[in-house]
Amino acid sequence: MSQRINLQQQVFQGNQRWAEQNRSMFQQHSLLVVNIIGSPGAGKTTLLESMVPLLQDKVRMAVIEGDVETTFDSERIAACGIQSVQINTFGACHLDAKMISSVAEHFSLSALDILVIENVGNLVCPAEFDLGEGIRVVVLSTAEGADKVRKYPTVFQRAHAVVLNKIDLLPYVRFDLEAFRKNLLCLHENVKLFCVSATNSEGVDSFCDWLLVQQGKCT
Amino acid sequence: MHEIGLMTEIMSIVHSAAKDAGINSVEKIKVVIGKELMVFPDALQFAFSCLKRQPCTEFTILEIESRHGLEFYVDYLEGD
Repeated sequence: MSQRINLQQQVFQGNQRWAEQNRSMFQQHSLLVVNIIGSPGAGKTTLLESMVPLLQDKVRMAVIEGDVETTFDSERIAACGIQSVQINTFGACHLDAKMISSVAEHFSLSALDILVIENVGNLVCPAEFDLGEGIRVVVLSTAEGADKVRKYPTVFQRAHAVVLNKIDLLPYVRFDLEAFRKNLLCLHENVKLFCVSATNSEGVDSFCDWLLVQQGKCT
Repeated sequence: MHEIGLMTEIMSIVHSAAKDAGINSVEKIKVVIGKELMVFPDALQFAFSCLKRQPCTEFTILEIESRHGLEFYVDYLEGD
């Protein structure tokens, strides 16, 4: 005889359990964990490279790199003298909390102040997966266009900060900066916006200063 | 593929609930998806067709209801 079992069980519940476990672990170590999300080519890794010289004398930092394949980005960060662990998803378009939990043992968390997670390049799926981070940062480049806030609202709504990268290209690309600011603040009035060029480090110091303030709140 | 990962999680929920309820053959799974989530029902159905080939769910049908919002949950399962 057929029976109905009512569940109303959230599909993301499994990931959420891992995320809360991660968050608790990170908080125990007073560790600021930053989840960096952005499209492929937005400049996430280059931003991290430009941050290292500004932060390394002030905080102890490590990085988790997420990519579908290769260790290219992890190698770039390691070349800066920062511990970096690569997660390859081999097809998955985002990192999840269980993946983060699985690599946490590679770090001495009590010996760190900031752990940055560079997510798989994607403006859609990473927005749905809590990793247990303390803050979420979206990196967008001027070359991608100012309409991305309206096209991908979820990722911007859930960000604590947005880093607009490649501002050195503004004279050469059609990017309406004022429209972008307006759309972003309409969607999320409390979000912090940093305009930077990761390749020449313009504006990166302001972003790093903000991160240091956030890290200070963890202690 | 994104929906494969999501469907894997759904199948895990269903298999666990079916086992707890003593259900050997799941006839139907009902899933609710919020339209703002960017989870595509067609892609989820395709993922289901790939993942359903197990004894408990071989003949199961997947019903998907789209609603406004950000909900994403397994509403119920039916079977015996």
